[in-house]
Amino acid sequence: MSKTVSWMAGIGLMFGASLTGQTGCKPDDGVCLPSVKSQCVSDCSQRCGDVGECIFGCEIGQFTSVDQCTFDCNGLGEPCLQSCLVTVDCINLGCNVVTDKLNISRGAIVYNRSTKVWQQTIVVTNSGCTDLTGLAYFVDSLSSGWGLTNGDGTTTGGLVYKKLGSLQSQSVTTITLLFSRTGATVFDYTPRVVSGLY
Amino acid sequence: MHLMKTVLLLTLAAVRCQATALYSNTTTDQLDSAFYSTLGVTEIGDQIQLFSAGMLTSLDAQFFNVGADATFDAVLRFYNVGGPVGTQIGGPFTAANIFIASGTSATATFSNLGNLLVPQDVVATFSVQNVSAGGDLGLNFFDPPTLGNSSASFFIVYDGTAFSQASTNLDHDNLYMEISGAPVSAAPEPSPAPILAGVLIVMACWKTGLRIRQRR
Repeated sequence: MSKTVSWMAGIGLMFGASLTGQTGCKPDDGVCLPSVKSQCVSDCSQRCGDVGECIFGCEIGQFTSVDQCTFDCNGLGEPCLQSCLVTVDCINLGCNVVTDKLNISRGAIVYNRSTKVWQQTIVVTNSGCTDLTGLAYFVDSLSSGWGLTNGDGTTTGGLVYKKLGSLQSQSVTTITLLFSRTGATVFDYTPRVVSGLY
Repeated sequence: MHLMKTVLLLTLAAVRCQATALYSNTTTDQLDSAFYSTLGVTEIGDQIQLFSAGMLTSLDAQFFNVGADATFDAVLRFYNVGGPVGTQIGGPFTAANIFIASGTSATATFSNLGNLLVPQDVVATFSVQNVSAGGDLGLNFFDPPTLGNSSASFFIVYDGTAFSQASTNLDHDNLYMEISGAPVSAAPEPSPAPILAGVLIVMACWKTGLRIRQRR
C-alpha cells in the first residue's frame, strides 16, 4: 500500500510542473545573477571616464550598501558618492526585476479634457507562482518631452517610480499614470517592475 | 407582364428610401481623447454595428485640438470588418478646411457619402491632413452608443503599415459618431404559397384560353 502511495506521489510530482505551466504560473528562479553586479559596476565605470573618485565609487557600490557609500566616499566628493549610489541602485533593481513574472497591459495614452492631464491606465496581473510585495513600476527610456508626474517613490539613485503595492499570485491591480508633455513626440517607454523596493 | 416584374423587383429590394440615423454615439462624453501625435498613428477609428445595413448619406465625427488654433482636412474611410480590418469600401471622403480653436472640440460633417452601401458591421476610420502649423489633433471618446452597438474595450488604429486594435483600458473606447442613411434589409425569400397561387392562376388562364380557342 505504501509503495502504491509513494508511486502515485511520484507521478504527481512528475506532472506537477506541467500542470503549473498550464495555469500560466511561471516558476520563480529566485536567483540574482552575478552578471547583474559586474554589469552595473562596468556600466558605472564607463560613465566615469578618467575620474578616479567616480570609478572608486562604482567599486564600492558593488557591496550594495548605502552606508558604505557614505563612509568610504567621505572626503572624495560628490562624484564618488553619486556613482556609488547609482551602482547600489542598479544592482538592487537588477536583482529584483519581476517584469517577466507579470502580465502588463498598457492602455493607450489619452488626454483628459476635464483635468487637462495626459494619463495612461495600466492593468498588471501577477502571473507568477509567488506573491510579490513592495512592487515599483518604472517607465524606462520614456520618450523625450514626457515626464511621469504622479510617481510616489524615488530610488537612492534618484529614479522615480509608481508604487503598485503587493500582488498575490494570479491577482490583478490597476494603476493610473499621469504625465506631463512638451513637444509632440510619440509616447513610449519600456515598463519595468521591481519587487521589495519599499 | 412588364408591370408585374417591376412590382416584384421593388418588393424584393425592400429599401426604405428616407434617410434616418443608423448609428448614434453623441450623448455621453467620456472626456478622454486619443491623439495621432502621441499614439504615432495616421488613422484612428472604431468597429461599429449599425442599426441596420444601409446606404449612407452623412457622418459626423468630433475632433479635439491640444495645440494652437488650426485648420485641417478630415478624411473618412470605411472598411469591411476583418482581422481587425478588411477591404476598404468606397471613398475616401473628405471634409475640408475645418477650423478648430486651441483646447476645443470641433465636429466634422461628411455629407458627401453618396448613398454608399455598407454592411451592418463596419469599420470607420479618420485621418487628418493639411493641418496648419501648431495644430495637434485627436478624436473624442463617447460611450455608450444610443443607437447601434460597439465594443467599449477597443478602438482601431493604423500606424502606416498595419491596422491593430488599441485599448485605453478604461472600458469606454467608442468614438463620437453620428451616421445617417437609408436602412437596407435583406431581400425577403418569396413564400411558396403566393408562387403556387400564381402558377395555378396562370394555368387556369391558359386552360380557359385553350377551351375558348377550341370552341371557335
